[in-house]
Amino acid sequence: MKRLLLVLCLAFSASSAQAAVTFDANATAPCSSNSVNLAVAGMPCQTLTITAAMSNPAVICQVNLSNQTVTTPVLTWDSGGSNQTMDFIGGRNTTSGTGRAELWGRVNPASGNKLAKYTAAAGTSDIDINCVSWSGVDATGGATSFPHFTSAIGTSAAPSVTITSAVGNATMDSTVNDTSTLSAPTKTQTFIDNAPNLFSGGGSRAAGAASNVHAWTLALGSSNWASVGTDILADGGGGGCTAKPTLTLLGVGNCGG
Amino acid sequence: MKLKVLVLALVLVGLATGAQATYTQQYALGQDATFQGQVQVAMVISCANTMTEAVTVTGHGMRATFCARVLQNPTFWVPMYAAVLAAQTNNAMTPLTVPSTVADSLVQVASDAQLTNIAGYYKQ
Repeated sequence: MKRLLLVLCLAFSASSAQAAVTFDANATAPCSSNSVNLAVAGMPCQTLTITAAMSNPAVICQVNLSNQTVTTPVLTWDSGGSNQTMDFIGGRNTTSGTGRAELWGRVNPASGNKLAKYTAAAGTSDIDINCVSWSGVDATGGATSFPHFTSAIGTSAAPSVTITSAVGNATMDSTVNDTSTLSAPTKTQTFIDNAPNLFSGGGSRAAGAASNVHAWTLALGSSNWASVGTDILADGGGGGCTAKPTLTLLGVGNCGG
Repeated sequence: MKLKVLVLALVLVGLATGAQATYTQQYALGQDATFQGQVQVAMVISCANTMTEAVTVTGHGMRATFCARVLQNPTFWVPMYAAVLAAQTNNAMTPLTVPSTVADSLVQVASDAQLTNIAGYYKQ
């Protein structure tokens, strides 16, 4: 009987849609500007071209700001076109008065070369925006598709955030600091921008694992930093059937994630 | 006679409206020893004030890190700082004659205003 259950589980796992999150495209360069009045014009950003006809696409934008008190920010994908509002995944301020890291996500974004635009009711800020597209992402949206948001802050030369994930998923971070230049990401760099007057920031991405550490190096140990991270859930609940076969597994065919 | 009057009138109008500074004039001012002396004092005052501002003031980290380097070796930073102040237009230096007769207060306002930008240019 146990052998039968195991065979059934393995067969179900193999036949069900256990898509892995797959990297599609990264912006060629982050949108970067100093002293942007977000309430007037916002920050338009010709970010990247998403491949058309992907299965379960999603776009994640890494945002760094100098201003920690921007009022009611909105990030719009395909601004001026279909105007798709992105989900705010999470954000964190540094311990000083300068520097904030955010992550925004959107499932089923309009494909093609699209404009992302960051606006707010009030606030002027130095700002970086970098967007990355993926396929094979859970299509629910919000915290379901972008679970396990986490953040970390510190005053040191070694920003780091540890993201809970799973094989088949993917992870991304956004990291900012108020003092010195950023370098040497331990995961695949999506952008580094040391040009803004009031902060330096960067972002990285990685294939999913149980625990992904996204770490960076700062030139100065006196830097106040904040780092935020998110998991990106694979369509079908995450790859890699690590759970032992049970009757429940037979019912839902979900290997967790 | 009428032509001389006309020329005089045009010159006076030009002076009244403030002729646009040329790069050559701005360069000469930035290189001027008198102006560089003014800039050094203004820069040190700007930085000394930065070191006492609250850490929660926007941009303090970047400014304070830069100013620590400035206060340890002011003369090293004067040529760069003077070039930026002479070239910027938000608080334009005037008159652009050398040796400098720019008012100290004008140099100080420009120094305070440009400190954050300059600190960003030279971040470590």
